[in-house]
Amino acid sequence: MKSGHLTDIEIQAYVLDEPADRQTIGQHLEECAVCRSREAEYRQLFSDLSVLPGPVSEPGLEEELLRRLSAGRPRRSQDILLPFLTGMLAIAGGTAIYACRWYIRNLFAYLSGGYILPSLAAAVLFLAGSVFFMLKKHRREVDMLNLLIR
Amino acid sequence: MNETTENRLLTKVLIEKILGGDTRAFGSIVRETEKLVRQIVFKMVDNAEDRRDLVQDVYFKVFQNLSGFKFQSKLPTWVGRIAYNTCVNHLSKKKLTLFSDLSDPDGEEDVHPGLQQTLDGRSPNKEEQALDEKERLAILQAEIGRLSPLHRTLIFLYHQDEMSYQEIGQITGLPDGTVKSYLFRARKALREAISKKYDKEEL
Ligand SMILES: [Zn+2]
Repeated sequence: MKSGHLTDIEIQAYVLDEPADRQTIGQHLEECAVCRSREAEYRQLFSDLSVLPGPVSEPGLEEELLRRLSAGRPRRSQDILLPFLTGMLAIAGGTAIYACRWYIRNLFAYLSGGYILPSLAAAVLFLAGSVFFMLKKHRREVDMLNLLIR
Repeated sequence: MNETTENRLLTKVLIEKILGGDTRAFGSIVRETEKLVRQIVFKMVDNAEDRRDLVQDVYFKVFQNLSGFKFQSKLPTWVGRIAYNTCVNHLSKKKLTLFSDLSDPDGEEDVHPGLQQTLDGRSPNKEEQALDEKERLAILQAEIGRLSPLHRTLIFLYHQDEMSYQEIGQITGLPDGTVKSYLFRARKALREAISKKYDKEEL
């Protein structure tokens, strides 16, 4: 103690019942009006802080929230399964179509084959890409929230 | 079954219900955590309209990410963390300050001259000064308003919501020691500011 008085750290710890050399601090407080005054200020401050009006709850918040939320169920991890399967199906379908391209080209003989294959490939790529980015986004959200909790 | 296990199980059942489509069950999470969420949003953000939107945003995020809750903390703490982060993002989007240093280089403080004078001359008991509680609380409110959003939030989580340093650390993502040291400085700043005000009124 530079000044011979208790530090604010010591007085705060004493008033808040935190680990501190209670005996030494208590003894000093008994003998020193200056530190006793600071102790009283802290006691008053902490008691005032606990009685300050807290945030008032907003009537109707719950109802409004529930009304808006019922429009969309929260995502489950399993919810990712459906788009994933759809994506897989699309890829399998695309591959099958590609494998049977000669047959399909004949089927749509009146259309130029030069259009069909690139369109199909683009659709498949687009679907696969969407699924990939959706999975990535979901993973990121879940990871972020888990990170928050340490 | 101890209380923690029972609470965990109840929370698990509740979450399963909500994920199963029972949106109304979400109401009990809102009821349980609304005070904490408001406490955080109201201490972090000044604008009344923004606060309202932020409270709703927080619950949308909680709702959308419930399946990601891994029981690594209590559910209200997790919700508090989402509230805190939502506010931090809001402040950063609006380019507002989250934290300003209340410097206290060596953790020591000499009694300031005003107080010393009072002590030497008259009774040191501040309660004897004729300021009623209402006035005292108004001064305190004003001084709290001068703290940074982060210090303000820490003060309220500790002194009003009676959270431990560890729980506050889980909400803010700060190490327990940092929470403790920020809180120490905020309390000290409040005590000093209020003390100075009293001295000024005395003159
Ligand atoms: Zn002393």
